[in-house]
Amino acid sequence: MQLTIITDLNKCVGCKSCQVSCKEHNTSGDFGPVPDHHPYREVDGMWWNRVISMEAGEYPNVGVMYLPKACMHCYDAPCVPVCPTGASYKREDNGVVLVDYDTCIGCQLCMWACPYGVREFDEEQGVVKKCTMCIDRIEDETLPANDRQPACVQSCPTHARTFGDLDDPDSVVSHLVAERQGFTLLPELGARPAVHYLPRRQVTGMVGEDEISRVLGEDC
Amino acid sequence: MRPTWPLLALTLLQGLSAGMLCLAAVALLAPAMDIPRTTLFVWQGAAWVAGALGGMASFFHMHRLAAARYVLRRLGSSWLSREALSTAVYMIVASFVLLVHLFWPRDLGAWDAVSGLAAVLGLAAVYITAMLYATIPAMRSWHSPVTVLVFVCAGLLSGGAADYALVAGRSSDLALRAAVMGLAAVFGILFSFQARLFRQAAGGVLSATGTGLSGRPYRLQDSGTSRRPYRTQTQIWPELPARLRRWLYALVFGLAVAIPWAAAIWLPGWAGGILLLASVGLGVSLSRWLFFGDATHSSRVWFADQPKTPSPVRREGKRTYKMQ
Repeated sequence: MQLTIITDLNKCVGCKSCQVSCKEHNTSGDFGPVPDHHPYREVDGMWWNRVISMEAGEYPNVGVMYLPKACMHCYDAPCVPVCPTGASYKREDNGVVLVDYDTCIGCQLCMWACPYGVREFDEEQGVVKKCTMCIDRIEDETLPANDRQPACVQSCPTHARTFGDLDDPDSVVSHLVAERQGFTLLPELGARPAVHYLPRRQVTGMVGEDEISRVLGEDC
Repeated sequence: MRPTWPLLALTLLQGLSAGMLCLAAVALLAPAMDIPRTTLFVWQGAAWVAGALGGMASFFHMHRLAAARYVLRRLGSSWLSREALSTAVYMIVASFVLLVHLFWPRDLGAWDAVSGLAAVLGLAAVYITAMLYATIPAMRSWHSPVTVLVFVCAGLLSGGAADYALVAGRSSDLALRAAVMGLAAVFGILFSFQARLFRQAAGGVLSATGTGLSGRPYRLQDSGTSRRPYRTQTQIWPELPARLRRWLYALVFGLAVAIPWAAAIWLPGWAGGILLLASVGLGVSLSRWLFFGDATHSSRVWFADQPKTPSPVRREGKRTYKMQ
């Protein structure tokens, strides 16, 4: 079993609700894993999920892509073997990569080994933290079935994110990856990420100067 | 990545210690160098002090000492576990070198044997430390055998310079002087390879490679928060300005290669020895700072410091727009 999240880049509108809901779910002052001690003084604190905004092309034919980026829960997670204490580990039953804060020495070697820059260092506790795929929610059998999924998946207003088992060939996520050419980030580094993205569809129409003049004319 | 003083101190002092012990072992086993055994003992004592200081510095890199007792758990896969073990074993054997000479001064065979063993273990410790960095594919600048060669050569050069400074002005320093000059030249060549590797790594990590988005050029608008996460993600760091980088690399060549050669050729005696040691020390330290500070991590794809391009839509007058 390999739990994963599939993101459809055609549906993501960059609202950052996944970024915010992740922090909201995992932050509880001094007790939650995501530290949020000075939320007003330091807004750029720790985030386990970051929505990257990328613009491409030349004006007027430009495109903007929003890329939600959290732990990829890789099959061959490079952060796991480098950890000297065994604090970073990959669960055999569901493939989720986790950090045991009690045995982490805060050497940050796992942060250098992770190709995706999704691990964050908590200076106050001296340990490295990362996305847990909301393991506390997905394993909580007291929750309704609909709530047993990561906060980022549940909060997405456009249903761009899908949660499921990538090793199950009949699962929705497996079908999405197979049928929509799901791709992974930086595959050349050999980490075999479980998290996949569904590629943007090619935009065929080109914007010409006459079209711009027409729109600007209407605007004036 | 952000260079931190514990990492700089650990890697530099460990290399210095191993380099000094290696040259001491070579001098012990090759009597042609004709260096008094008292001097060799001084070299070994200085090497032990440097190694101990480096080992102490490593503790400051651990942010939770309470978990340090688990550090040898992953010897099978983690080079950091192996580094902790190899450095500890090296320091134990280096201590034996001093103890054997102090308590059994007549047993020269035992001293020679333990000294040779300590030198081999010192080189192994430096090799393992270098492998820790060289085996990280995500750190594009380090993922090369050149990293290992530079670490070993930097250790031997700094150790040789320290040994030379301790015997400078005596007739016995000729072979050592030649060795230091040779090591400085080799270090210069390896460092130039490393500089080239770092530029290639920086050129290979672009926004275009990490998104799959068609159309060019790419511009990173937002990395998720209003500022780059340099404080919570230490694997990335602001890119050095090109002009400053060129100056720093040139300075390394001047300090670690040119000045030591000049000091060894034209300035014999104590003054030359001290100048050579200071110059090599500064040059190797700066090269190690650049090793960390100028390194390119693959995650720079999403946290790139790309120059902001002004909007091509220019507003002229009240509501008139023109396309450039």
